[in-house]
Amino acid sequence: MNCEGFRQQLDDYVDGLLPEREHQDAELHLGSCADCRVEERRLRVFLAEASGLRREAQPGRDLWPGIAERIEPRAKLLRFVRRGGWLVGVAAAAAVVFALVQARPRPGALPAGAELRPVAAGSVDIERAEAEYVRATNQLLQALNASRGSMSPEAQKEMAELETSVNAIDDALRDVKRALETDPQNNKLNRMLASTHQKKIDLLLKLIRLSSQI
Amino acid sequence: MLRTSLASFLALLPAMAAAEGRVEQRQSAAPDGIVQIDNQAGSIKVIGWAKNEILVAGTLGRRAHGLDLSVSGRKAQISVDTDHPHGTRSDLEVHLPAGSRVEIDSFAAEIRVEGVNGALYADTVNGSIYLAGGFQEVEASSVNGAVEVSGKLKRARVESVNGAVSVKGASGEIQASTVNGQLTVSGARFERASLETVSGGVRFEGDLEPKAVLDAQSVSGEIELFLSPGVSADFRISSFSGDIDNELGPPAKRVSKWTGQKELEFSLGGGGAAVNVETLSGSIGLRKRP
Amino acid sequence: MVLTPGVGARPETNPQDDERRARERQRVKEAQEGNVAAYEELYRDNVGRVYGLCLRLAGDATLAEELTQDVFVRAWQKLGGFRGASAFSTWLYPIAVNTALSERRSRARRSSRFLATDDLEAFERPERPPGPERGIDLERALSQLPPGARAIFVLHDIEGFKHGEIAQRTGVATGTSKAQLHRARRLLREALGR
Repeated sequence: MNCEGFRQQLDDYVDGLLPEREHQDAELHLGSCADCRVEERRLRVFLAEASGLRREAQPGRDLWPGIAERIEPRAKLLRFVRRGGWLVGVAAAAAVVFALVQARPRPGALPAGAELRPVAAGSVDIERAEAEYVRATNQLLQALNASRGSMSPEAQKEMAELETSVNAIDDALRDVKRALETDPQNNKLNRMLASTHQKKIDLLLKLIRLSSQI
Repeated sequence: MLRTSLASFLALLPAMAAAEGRVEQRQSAAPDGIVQIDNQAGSIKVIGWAKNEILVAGTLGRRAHGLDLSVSGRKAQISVDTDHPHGTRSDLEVHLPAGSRVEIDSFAAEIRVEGVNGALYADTVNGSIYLAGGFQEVEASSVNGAVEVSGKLKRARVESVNGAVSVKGASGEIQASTVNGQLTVSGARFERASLETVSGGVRFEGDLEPKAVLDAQSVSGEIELFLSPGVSADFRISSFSGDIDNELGPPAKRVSKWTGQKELEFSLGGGGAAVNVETLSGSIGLRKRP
Repeated sequence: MVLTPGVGARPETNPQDDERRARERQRVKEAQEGNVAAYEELYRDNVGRVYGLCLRLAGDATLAEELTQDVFVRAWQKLGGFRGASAFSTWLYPIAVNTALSERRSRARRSSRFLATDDLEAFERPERPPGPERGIDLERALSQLPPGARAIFVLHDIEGFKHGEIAQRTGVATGTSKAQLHRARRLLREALGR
């Protein structure tokens, strides 16, 4: 290897990327060439300085407020879901309906953490239960809408597709309510309405969880 | 300090995979530990084996930086390292101890699990889930994909929103639900089964244990139960506006002058198991098993 | 605990480190549940490193500030996927690299200049006085490199990435990455008279 050849290989040699044979040739050349030894030394010193450069730097202004503003919508969403604030109304509604129809709820029909409160006969108000479900559903829908702002266009498209799944449940809710108009005291129908509401809530919760991951 | 965190970072990366993105990593693991797998798109295949070791092999998507397999105590985590989790498809095959508790999280990957007898939790949105084997406990959920479970189960909760759900040969407790996917349960001997859809059809075919409870409910979906004529069960069937067709016993009766609601209560073989079916407008059929 | 540059081994864990890691894990958990104050603490602990990297790669303080904000917003969106297998900074770091680089790529595309064909000759513009300028320190010389060459030099010689890794993150072929690096080194050394 001559000097020109060595200089061409110098970077790879110093980086330890030369194959075995070329590496040995380079070492041999170095052993007998003072100029190339100087050049190699200078490159190593330079690289040592580069690798020793400080890698931390403080920005000239506080960047946090700009960040906080952009992450707040999703933060609100996460706090809302975690708090389970919507839970209270739904649990109460479910308790009312199931107490009314005196039926054991199916496993999974109640949201996790909800408890059946014993309800005195005659104090039941189906309409209030329905209102609780609607309120909880609206809260969840609002939360879902709020999260849209911080999503990328692709994510928003994904979410929009997922949300169409809610339509089948809305159709069912409409059908059950229509049936109830003809037979308002029908226990089975009221139970079916409650469990369909619950399905909608479960689905909305799932969509909210997903929106924080997309 | 900075160098160290860089070194730690680089140590987490596998040696640069070959150009086509093939990876393979293995680590020893507890026989009954927790294994969490995260691959948002592509496919995940899990196979339980007798070794106390996890072996992950597969092909990473173009925009994946690497495969992360880390074991800490009884918990192992496997994930695809990428900035585009939904946009890069990776195919993973994971061998793990059969007694593990497996938790799989995905968005669009197809999930297949076999030979695991611990617990299994699989959650996906667009992907389908196929589970085979004797799990202690299963929770499998998809939104648009199908979910199929076969084998002996002690406890299973299986759901999809738009996809079809199918449970075969299971036992123990089953909860299966869809919104508008078809729900099929077949060849099952179980103690408790709860089948619910909103607009999807329900098809049940199987035997009933002496004290089994079968609940089936739909708003507008069609519910068909195929039972042996020799079954011992008490039936409570009702539909608000759908037809009830009973090949196993007496016909249903209208119970209201003003609505089309029909109800049917009868027993076969001296009773024992409980069969409860309810719809709003979906038709109900009680049929003889072929 | 004294660490010298070039030491690659992981330090032995000591109680202070364990405590720090535990506090960090707690903060991450709270942030994942929507606690913005907890995330701010993670931000404060890591902004120096992220900004430093963005500044070097962007070569421009205003852009670096924007990139830094982008990095922490993206990290927040992906936080649900952080399982705590590594330190938060280790998880954050590739997000910073990729954000800085993809921003560069999209800006390059807008002005139809691609990383692979970055013209280092711009640094050798004839109107520059020939020969090395004494007293230019390495930082200034670095900031005057064209962005493509600067990125490769920063990633390889300052941040310690290997060519294969750089190739994957920048979309440049390994051979091109090497060529760019060698030229960057040459130009910097010429500018510094070393």
